[in-house]
Amino acid sequence: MEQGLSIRPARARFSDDATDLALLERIAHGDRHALRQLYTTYYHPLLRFIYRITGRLELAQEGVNDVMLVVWRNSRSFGGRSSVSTWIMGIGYRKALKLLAASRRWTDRFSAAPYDELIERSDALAEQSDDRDLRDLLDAALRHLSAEHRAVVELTYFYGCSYEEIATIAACPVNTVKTRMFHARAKLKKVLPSLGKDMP
Amino acid sequence: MTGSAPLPHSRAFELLPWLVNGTLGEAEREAVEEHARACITCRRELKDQQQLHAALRARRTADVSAEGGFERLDRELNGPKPPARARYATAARFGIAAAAGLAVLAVLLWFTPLPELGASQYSTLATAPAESAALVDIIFADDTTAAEMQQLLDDIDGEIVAGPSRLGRYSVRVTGARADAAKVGELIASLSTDRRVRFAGRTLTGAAP
Repeated sequence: MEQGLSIRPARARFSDDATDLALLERIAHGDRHALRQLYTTYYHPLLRFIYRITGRLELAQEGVNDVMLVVWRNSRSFGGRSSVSTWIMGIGYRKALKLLAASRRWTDRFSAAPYDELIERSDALAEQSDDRDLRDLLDAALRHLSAEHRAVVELTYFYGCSYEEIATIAACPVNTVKTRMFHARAKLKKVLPSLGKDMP
Repeated sequence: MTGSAPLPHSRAFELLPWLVNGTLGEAEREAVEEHARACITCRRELKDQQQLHAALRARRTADVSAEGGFERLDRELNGPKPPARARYATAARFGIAAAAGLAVLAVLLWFTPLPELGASQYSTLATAPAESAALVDIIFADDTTAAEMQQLLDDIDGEIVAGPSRLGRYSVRVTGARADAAKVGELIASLSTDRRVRFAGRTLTGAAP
């Protein structure tokens, strides 16, 4: 095999399902210490995920507590059809979309820079390869994706989720996940100078 | 070689992100890798996706302590008041009862004089209520779309001046004929039966935004 195809990254997991299940069991019996443990484990993953969807830290902080309140109240109804992390991230996904919809009427943060303008900036940056600028550009490019597309990119590349897990989190068919990722990649490719030009 | 039928280019191409993050099943991974070995487009795309993967993973997460967040949650679970959603469910029932003229308590809750809204009480997003304006609290139904929200606001000559609160409550300034003190009760009764609305009530004095 060619060296460029040897891709076996360790999956980015922030929790262990057996531990999560044990905590959930204790939470179902009203154990507040277990809730604190689970809260601490999921605080930053959820905060980042909801922030990436909503673009607002205060909404993300609010969203984390909303999610954990649902976990506290519904721990008995967890059916084990997915991992605990997939279940919790699914709650987070729905909360994030709801918070975003509620805030969108007067928050136009995501259209701060026109898409065409971003592409022009990316052309200028292509010759500079300044990491910080590229990170800013990546953030801006991601904000120009729909929330659903952004979530798929984030879940794939930051959280290391399989497309099946993402389908469960987003409550959609796996083909929808693949299609969202395909369109997200195409749009990011136009903006990010380091990404190539080939699309099928 | 996998021994199975070659993967079409379009299928291999769409699976590349999950080859990069290492979550493809063994057979699917082998099939994508086999295709990529012979496909320059996929090899280039693979490199791009590896860069995107690295760039996304390099982005920092907000440096915010979980402690403060848990303390807020703990207070909510410990507090003397019932959970916020339960409070609103109760209030909504009172609002509907008041609309039907059935509950004295509902009258006490909802037909108190309108508060003067100070800047410290509301994160006002528009100008202060004009004369002959009334403030109404609305929580929209979960499945209400932004377009439906806007249509409802148009229907009642309403404008959102604050919110949403953590519970999704908006303070809506209503102007025109519906803002008349005698009409606000009718408006709330009407909103309470609207499928787009989960809860409607008169804005309460001192309510947190």
